Amino acid sequence: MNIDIIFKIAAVGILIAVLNQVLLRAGREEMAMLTTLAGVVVVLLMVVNLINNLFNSIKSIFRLY
Amino acid sequence: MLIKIISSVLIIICCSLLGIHMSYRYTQRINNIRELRNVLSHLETEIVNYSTLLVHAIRNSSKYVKGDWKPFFDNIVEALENRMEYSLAEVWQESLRALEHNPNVDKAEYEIMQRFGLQLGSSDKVSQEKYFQLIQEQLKVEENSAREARLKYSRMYYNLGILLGLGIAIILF
Repeated sequence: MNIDIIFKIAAVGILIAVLNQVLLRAGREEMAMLTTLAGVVVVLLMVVNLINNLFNSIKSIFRLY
Repeated sequence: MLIKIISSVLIIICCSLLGIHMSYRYTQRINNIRELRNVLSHLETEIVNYSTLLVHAIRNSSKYVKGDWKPFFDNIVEALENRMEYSLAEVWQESLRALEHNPNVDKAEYEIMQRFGLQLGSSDKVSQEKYFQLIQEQLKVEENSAREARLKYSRMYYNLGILLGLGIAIILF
């Protein structure tokens, strides 16, 4: 289990928060919304493999084949 | 590891430079408008007070102009002096076309100058003076709006560049 990905996700989160603030301050609400969405998608892409692993583990633990 | 760090730093620097370049555009637009207003007030003095020939008036007033409008005036003077069978309005529109997609010249100034080109040198002194006053007024409004835009967006693009670089570096790391 790699712990690095947690730090990476945290960094992306902080970055998106700052970006959001900068864009809101400049009066570009729709761009701020878009960057937030892009951040969510990027993080989702990072963790999609891990979620897959989690589901597979659950399946094998409870014998749901 | 070292290569990763170096390439991340390079990405951040490049994106920051991009942001600085984007935010510099707003400062440059204000400078351009100020230069343009200087040239036009000089031109007004030449035409209204000294009654100089229009070619010479344009050449004299655009001698010290800096920035993106310099090639525009140089082009007009050159075309008029070489007598390339153009009227001033035609030369004006043709020279102006080179500035149409310049990022440092906004559509508003472009259109103001386009309209002004049709009126310059086509009437008596009194109405010329009125046209000059009108264009100065319009350019002043544009200068103020450019200042507001700089306050609003210059800082934003600067921050956006740095944050974009950081984002790419973090995602790739």
